[in-house]
Amino acid sequence: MFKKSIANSLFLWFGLILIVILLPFFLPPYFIHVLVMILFYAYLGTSWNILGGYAGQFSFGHAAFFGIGAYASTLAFVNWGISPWLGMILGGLLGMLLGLLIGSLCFHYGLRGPYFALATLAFSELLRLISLNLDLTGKAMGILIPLKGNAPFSFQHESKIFYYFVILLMFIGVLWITRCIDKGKFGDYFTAIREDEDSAEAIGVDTFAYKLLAILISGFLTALGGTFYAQYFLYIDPAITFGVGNSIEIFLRPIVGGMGTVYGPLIGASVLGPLGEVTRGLLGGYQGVHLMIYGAILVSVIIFLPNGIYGWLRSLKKKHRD
Amino acid sequence: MRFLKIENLSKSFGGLTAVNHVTFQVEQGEIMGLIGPNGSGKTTLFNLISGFLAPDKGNIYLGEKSLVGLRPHQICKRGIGRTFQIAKPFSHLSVMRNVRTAVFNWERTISGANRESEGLLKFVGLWSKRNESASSLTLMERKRLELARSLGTHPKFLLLDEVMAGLTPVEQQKMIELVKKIREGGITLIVIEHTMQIIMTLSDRIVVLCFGEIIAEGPPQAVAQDPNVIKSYLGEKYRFA
Amino acid sequence: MDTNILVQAIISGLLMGGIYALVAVSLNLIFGVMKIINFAHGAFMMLGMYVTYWVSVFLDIHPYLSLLLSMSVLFVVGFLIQYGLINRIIEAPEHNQLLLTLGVALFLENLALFLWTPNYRMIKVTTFAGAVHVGKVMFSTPRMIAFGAALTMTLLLYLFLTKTDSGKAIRAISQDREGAHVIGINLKMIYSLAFGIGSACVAAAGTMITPFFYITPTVGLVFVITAFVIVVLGGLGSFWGAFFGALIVGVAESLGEVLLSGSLKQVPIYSIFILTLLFRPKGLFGKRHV
Repeated sequence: MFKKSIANSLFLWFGLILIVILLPFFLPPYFIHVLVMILFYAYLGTSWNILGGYAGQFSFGHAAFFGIGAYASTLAFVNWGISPWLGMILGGLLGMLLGLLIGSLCFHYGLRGPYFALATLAFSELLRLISLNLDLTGKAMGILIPLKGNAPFSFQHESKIFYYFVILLMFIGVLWITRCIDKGKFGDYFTAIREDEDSAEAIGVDTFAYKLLAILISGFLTALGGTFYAQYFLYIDPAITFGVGNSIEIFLRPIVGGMGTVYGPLIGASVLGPLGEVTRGLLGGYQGVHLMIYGAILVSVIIFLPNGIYGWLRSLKKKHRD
Repeated sequence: MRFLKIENLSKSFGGLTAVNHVTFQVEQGEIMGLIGPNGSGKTTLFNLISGFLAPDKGNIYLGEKSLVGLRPHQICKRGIGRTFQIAKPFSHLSVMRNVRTAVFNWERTISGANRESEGLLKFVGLWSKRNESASSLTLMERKRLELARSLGTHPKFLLLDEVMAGLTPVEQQKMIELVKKIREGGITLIVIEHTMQIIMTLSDRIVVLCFGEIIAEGPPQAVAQDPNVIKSYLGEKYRFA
Repeated sequence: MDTNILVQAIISGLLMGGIYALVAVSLNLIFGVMKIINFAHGAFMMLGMYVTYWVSVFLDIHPYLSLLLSMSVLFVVGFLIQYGLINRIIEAPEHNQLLLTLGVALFLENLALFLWTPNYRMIKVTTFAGAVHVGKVMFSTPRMIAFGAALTMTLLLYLFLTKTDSGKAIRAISQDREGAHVIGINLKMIYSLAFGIGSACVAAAGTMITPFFYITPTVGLVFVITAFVIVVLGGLGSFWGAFFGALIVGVAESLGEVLLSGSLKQVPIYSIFILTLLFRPKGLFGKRHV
């Protein structure tokens, strides 16, 4: 009986992995694109979640990390021929440095809650303005990445399936990191800081150091996402990368799915992604029309599902058990 | 010998002096009671000792070393723990993980931390609730959890801020037993309490604060009969043991 | 650098600062009372501008004549949003309320984009247009009128808050929520009233700038961020802090525009913002402990 249930769940896992791996080969490019976008925002949301959901420091300016990653790898590639794979790491390190800057300033001066959120917004806006006026970053025109065709070593391919697997691996990586945090010492520390910084300090948690760690990790990972975006769409500009809209899209998934949970951002991305596509398909018009629905969803989630979809599902399970 | 020495400590907020040239010493192994009317500066004193506030004047010594300027987590690591008037557990963590957070100060591995947390939870009587969410605990259980958490940091001195507040007489008795057990474990305690009976039962020595100044100090019986103490409590509903 | 250009910049900055003052002061009202960071404030201003635009176009009247209409419409919108939505999550942590207003802003802005396209619109006015010249300095008439109107409305708001019963109730709540509740003030109605008034004021600001400011669904975003900078700089909860902070920011922005290139004019503003948050979060006149 016991062995059968292990066998069953192994079978399920194997089946799931098989589906995930084989699926893109049977789908038309548009649907692969939708999957890529879901995984992409799930990746970004999970990266944001480390700082915003677990450590409880709500960032309104994650576009800053995203943009730095995107521009770093793109400039390195376009100007000096450095492979975007290396550029991605470079971007990640710059993202970490930015996190160090923003974090040390904000946390040292004790910015919390909405004030921290507004400060991060100000930083991302500053970066947007700078990139808008710098020749190096192409000003408002942005930067076009030259087409290299099927060039996996240059982080490019004509088939979307390549990008699917890249973002899938990135997402699994970030998911694994989050799981480790969720179950281990960092999870305890981050949650303690999020819930009650004073109590955390009183039991020996160096809240400054751990908040800084959270922003370093989150910044690094988010910057990697920026590079992916650049290589997928082959075009970046200040508004797309550093804009407020980007920051909003990033934290929207964790909020809808469930902040401070491992799978919350994935759930949020799985709901918002297809919903956005359907909305755009039905209402046509301009590019951002799905944001209208997102706004309505955000309002509804805040009022009715404050713990996100995952939190709601968990409370249903609890009620079912009692 | 380990001692905690408060020397000439002063703290003002705007025009209000909360703590005024307070000097006393706490010897290892004793339970020192800290009492005084509302607003006399007791919690401020705790905040100063544990590093949540910086003093305007004076010093705090643990042994030979000064604690002034250190952040709360550093003071905790030096061996001074504290509880808060309103016990706030980390509600998104289980009871076990609440304690584990504190234990990670001294344990490197998860298994070691789990083991140590088990011991602490059994000590305070919360082992059966270890996997419950901390938000589901009763008031008494929360206070037990706060104690377990503070103990997890291996304090040599523990500052208890009104740990009896809100408990029924039966619960208070249990808490007194627990506090005595903690002292038997070798930890020195400074206890803020409002109920005179409890303070008299628990303390080896009492310090009385009024408007931020020490107006009396000594064994419980002597303090209870001190005319200054009686005067400062006139008009308040306190019953002396 | 030609001193005339500098003087002109300062004048323009002050005039725009008056508008910012109305926007900031009304934002401060909402924040001071409900402790809500209202991201939808800019969207409401935008809606006020569109109400004015459509009324002017369809009825072929001067935008100023639509002032009462735009204020009334936005009063109702603001009131309903507070009453129906925000009141439900009063007890929730601060950032939930911030997110709610953000959701409202997202919805409204993109609804506007969907209905009216991102095309910039402008209203051409013939009366009360033009400018007054004093020496080499030019005072644009519509800007002066907008400044005057904004100032008047700010003053009216101040009188409302200090002289009327409702206004005093609002201030009572902002100082001591529980105390006000205990003496019988209906919190939910007062919140809705305050939100409605704040929204009406910012709609008025929108209407008054239509003769010289472009109208587009995303116009609110810049104003709301600037308003936050001002409110933080002036001190959250401080009426006059927001007022004088607005004039300072208006001039800083204007000088930035002249001394730096184009869009970089906002760099000094964001920098001031970050510096204020870090070093003096109470702001210049702040009473609230952050």
